[in-house]
Amino acid sequence: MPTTERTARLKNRCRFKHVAGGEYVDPGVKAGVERARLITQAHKENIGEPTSIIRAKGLENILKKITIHIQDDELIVGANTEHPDYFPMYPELSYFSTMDMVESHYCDHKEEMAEIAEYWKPYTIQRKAEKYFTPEEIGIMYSATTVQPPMFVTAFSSIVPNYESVIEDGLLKRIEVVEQKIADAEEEIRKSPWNAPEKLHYLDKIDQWQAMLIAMKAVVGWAQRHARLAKIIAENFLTDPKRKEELLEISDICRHVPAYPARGLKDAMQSKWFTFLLCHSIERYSSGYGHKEDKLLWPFYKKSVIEKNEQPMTREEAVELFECERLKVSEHGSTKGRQLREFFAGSNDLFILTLGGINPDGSDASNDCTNAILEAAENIVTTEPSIAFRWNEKGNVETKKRVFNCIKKGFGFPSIKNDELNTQQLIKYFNVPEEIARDWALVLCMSPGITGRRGTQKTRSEGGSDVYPAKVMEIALTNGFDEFFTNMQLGPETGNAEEFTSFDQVWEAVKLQLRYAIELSLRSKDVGRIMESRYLCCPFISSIDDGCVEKGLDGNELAEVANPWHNIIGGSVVVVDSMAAIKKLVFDEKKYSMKELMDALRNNWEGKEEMRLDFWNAPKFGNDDPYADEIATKYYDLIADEWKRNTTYSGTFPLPLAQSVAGYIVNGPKTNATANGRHAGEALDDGGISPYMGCDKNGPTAVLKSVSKINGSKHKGILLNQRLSTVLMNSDAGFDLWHAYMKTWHGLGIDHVQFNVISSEEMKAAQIEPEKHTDTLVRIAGYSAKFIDLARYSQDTIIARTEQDLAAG
Amino acid sequence: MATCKECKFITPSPTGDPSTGICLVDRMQLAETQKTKTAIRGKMVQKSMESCPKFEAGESWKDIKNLI
Repeated sequence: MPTTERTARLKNRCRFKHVAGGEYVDPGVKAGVERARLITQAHKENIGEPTSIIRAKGLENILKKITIHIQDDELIVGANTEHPDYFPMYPELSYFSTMDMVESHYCDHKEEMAEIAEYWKPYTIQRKAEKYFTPEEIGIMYSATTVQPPMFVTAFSSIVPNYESVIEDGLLKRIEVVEQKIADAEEEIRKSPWNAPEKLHYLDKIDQWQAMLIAMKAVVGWAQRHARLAKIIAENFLTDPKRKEELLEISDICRHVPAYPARGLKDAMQSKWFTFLLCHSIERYSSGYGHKEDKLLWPFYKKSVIEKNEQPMTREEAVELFECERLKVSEHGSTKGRQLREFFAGSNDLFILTLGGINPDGSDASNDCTNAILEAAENIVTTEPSIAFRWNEKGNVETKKRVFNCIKKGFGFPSIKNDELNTQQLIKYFNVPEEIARDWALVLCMSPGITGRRGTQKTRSEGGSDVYPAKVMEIALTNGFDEFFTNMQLGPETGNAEEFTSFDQVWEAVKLQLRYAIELSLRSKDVGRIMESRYLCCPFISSIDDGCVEKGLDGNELAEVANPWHNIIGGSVVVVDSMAAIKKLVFDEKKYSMKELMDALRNNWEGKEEMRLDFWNAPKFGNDDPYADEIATKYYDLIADEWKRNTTYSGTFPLPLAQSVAGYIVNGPKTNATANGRHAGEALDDGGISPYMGCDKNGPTAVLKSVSKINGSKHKGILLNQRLSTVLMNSDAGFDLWHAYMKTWHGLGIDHVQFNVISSEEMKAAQIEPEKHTDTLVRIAGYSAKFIDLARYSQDTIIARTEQDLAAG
Repeated sequence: MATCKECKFITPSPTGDPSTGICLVDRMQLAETQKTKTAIRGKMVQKSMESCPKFEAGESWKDIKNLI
């Protein structure tokens, strides 16, 4: 239950922006036009200026003129659009994504938006980047079969803003710093004697710094607009003295932050929210809610809630504020083309915050702020933002109990990441100093990245491309040609499987197809990165990064701390199980020939049910079966090695990250029958290493043992979904059983785990009477969703996951 | 937005290119051995293609049970 009447009212009227079947569920959701209109206006007026200046003036025009609003009961103010029902549009990113939206029923200003889209067409990063690819490569990427369409067409990005610098410094101090940088540069270029190689680089830097100044001043002005609006409403339109007082306080807060350092928790929360809006949604679209919230807010929580010397508040008021934050995130609209809306089935966007772990000094980082955030999540019951919890041996039991409480209620979060493993990886692979590495947060669903004042991820071109392994394996058996879905050559010609005479040949074909898909997706990311740094400068995002300010560089260009990871999305276990079945039945036992197998797959096992069952009953991953697990180990090493062959924009090799989002659902219909006994069009495996639905039959410990055989340190993450018994989790022994399971998980050095705690009966009941199950949440992959907002095909994949009995071991 | 009430073919569609879509009409009930119930054989279609007789205007997407 919401903690207060306020948050109950706010939840009741929250304009949730989640999607189902690729469409927004709330019929009131619309595409806002003001951002697109204002950035276009500024672009036309400033064409010819350096890109950084054009972009800064675009942001300035938006912040000066966009309609702002404050809703009843709100304690945190500010939005990314002119109306709470709307989401913004970004015509400068992708022509296809914009036109997709223009042609949809969400857009009420079709003529104007079509004109805006046409104006931007030659300037979009889509058009700038496409020319570096052949039509065949474009066809492969846009078909979304073996790789995700590139960021320059989906417009998808993610970022970890430097919240710390805004909250600690305030923008006015940063403006002074940047003004000094310009003054110093002006002095440098006038020093005698003239030395071009040493001086000319200052010209670009001065442009970048000037753009940062324009952006930061515009942001301060935008916050002042909110301050004025709150004061006007309080003084002219309210009779309720309590709300009047609240609005006058909001006015004071917006006058103070982000211009000045935050004083207490209310300032810090508001400053954080403004920064979130700017970095994730106003300057450009970027997914995510990446920050370590309990670390970031703890000093202010202490001042306000514990010491009560700045913006004093009770603990209950702090929990209420965190509930308000969750509702603001739930109402925040993100713009995605249909492909991504389906890929995030049931969600709004991938909003994930991080808690727990340890402090830079090695002490337990969980504190009462952590507990209050978890308590708010437990009370308000929203799917967003999702929470990741860094499980460290030093973590206190009280906080772990609160983590358990959220999980046993069936939220699907917190998802749990192995703190020590992920910290060590940042140190070992990315040369991050230990104190900084200890402050990591998830960038999006699964990948850790640093937080703090500099070096955080600014664009998803740093990582986050997707390769779809099940489809890759399918075409590895058909000479690289997709006979099933596109009728296109999707990869190199690596031979027809009918002619393969050894398991090694199968393996080699898969390896070469993977290699092609990996390299194509990496190249598309890095080409996109160059286009972003040339044409999509983000002066505000850059202005709050100490490194960008120091060096006079745009955040898209500067890769101060490399963090390249790339996804292998839903289907890895289908590949592993298929490989195991082929090895055993075709090459070890010689029960079937490759020709017989290919005939059966092409005919979707029709008339071959006995043969299909042989393949279905072959060794499967997730049962602590050495036969399947050995192939799994080899497969996960292979993908790590294949990514490692490459060097990306930021100068190092990327790590793979096995997960699924809703890709295991969306890609099922595009993937032919597979040798694990799966039919054409059947869903793929639901995680990055989750056993295939119904194939883990030896209990939860056997799953953990299978997973632990994979060398997790070679991967940025490997997503494991587990479904636990509601009866046991809610029993008196629930926490102890779960805690013992978690200790086993941690002791085995496994990267990740997340849980669904919901019975098949409840899910089936929700299918029949959805109106009675409006708060039933489930975990899809890196995010949670309301069960009733999933299509039947997707719902069935959750029901199909094996319910593990913790007591059975 | 034009949709098909039976096959649920919708444009724009879940590919990177809004002129290309996926037809989800071909469904198969799965054997008892499988934990999931349904397989959907997707078919790539172009917006420029002549629509099938089942294609009609409407908002059938709101009945999400049959989508993915």
